[in-house]
Amino acid sequence: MIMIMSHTENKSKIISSRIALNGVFLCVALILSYIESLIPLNFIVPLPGFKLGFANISIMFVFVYLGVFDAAEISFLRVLIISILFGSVTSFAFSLSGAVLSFVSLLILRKLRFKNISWIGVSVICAVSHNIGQIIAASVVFASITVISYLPWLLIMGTVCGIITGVIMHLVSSNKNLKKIYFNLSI
Amino acid sequence: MLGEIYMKIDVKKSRKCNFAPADSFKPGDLISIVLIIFTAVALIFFFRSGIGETGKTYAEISVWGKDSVNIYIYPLERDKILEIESSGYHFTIQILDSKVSVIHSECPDGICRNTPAISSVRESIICVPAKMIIKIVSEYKDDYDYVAY
Repeated sequence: MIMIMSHTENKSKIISSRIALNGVFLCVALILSYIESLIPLNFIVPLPGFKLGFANISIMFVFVYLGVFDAAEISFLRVLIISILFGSVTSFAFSLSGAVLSFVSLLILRKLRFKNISWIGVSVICAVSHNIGQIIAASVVFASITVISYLPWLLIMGTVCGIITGVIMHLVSSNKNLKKIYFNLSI
Repeated sequence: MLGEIYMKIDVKKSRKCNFAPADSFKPGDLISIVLIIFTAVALIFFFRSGIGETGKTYAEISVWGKDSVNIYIYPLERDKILEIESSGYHFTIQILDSKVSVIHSECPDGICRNTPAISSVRESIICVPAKMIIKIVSEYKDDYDYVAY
């Protein structure tokens, strides 16, 4: 159902459309997380906690085009569901602290009005802050600062993956058909 | 429940960001990428440099037992093959030519097996599922309750 209505109109309809949309984007994030878990990168890049971060595509999209609160909700639910399905308590702690830190960096970038930065820079900064959050969580879990020796490698790989997701975000956000869809869906 | 939370949030305010990242490459991207890579390279050189290395180096292996963390310390100059257990997973660790590597492990992700051998101070091999850390230390500290030497 395509809705064109003002903010003053039926609030409950707005809310239900919002819940539905958030569900769709949560599914996209989950599927992307699942796809990246299928790619056996552990044997090429032996770094604990290293991931491609495709789920970030969905969350950044929601953050910019739909809303901040929706993005926070989707991000938290994604971390929760993925660690219930595929992970453990440790992986939940790692992902959550990474997700929180990258969300904070997104908020800061939004405060700066995304000036002088494109999708590539945004996703690189997100990826890197996710890695820093993971390292913080790991040093708490292991009760040792040793984990930090992985940080530089994670930073380099995070930059590479951030560029990849940034290019994908460029393609997604400049797609005219997609734009039509979300401008009709978002109120 | 979610509906109630949604009710409280100002739809106008929360919906849609008025500003989006640019559609083309901007100087901010280049600056952030260069800064991050520079920091990473500087950190790698710092970790590899071996600053603070004094004389003998040891491999410090900390494993999670049933209710405590055990720390084993081995000198790197003596070649050795060790069998250890951490959180129920078995590991075979090799010390050869002053380099430490994991040659066999039972952990599910196998990251520790694929990590290249380490030899200088501040380098480490970490196994997240088994909570095992191997790191290189130069000065053996007395305050560890070490098990084997």
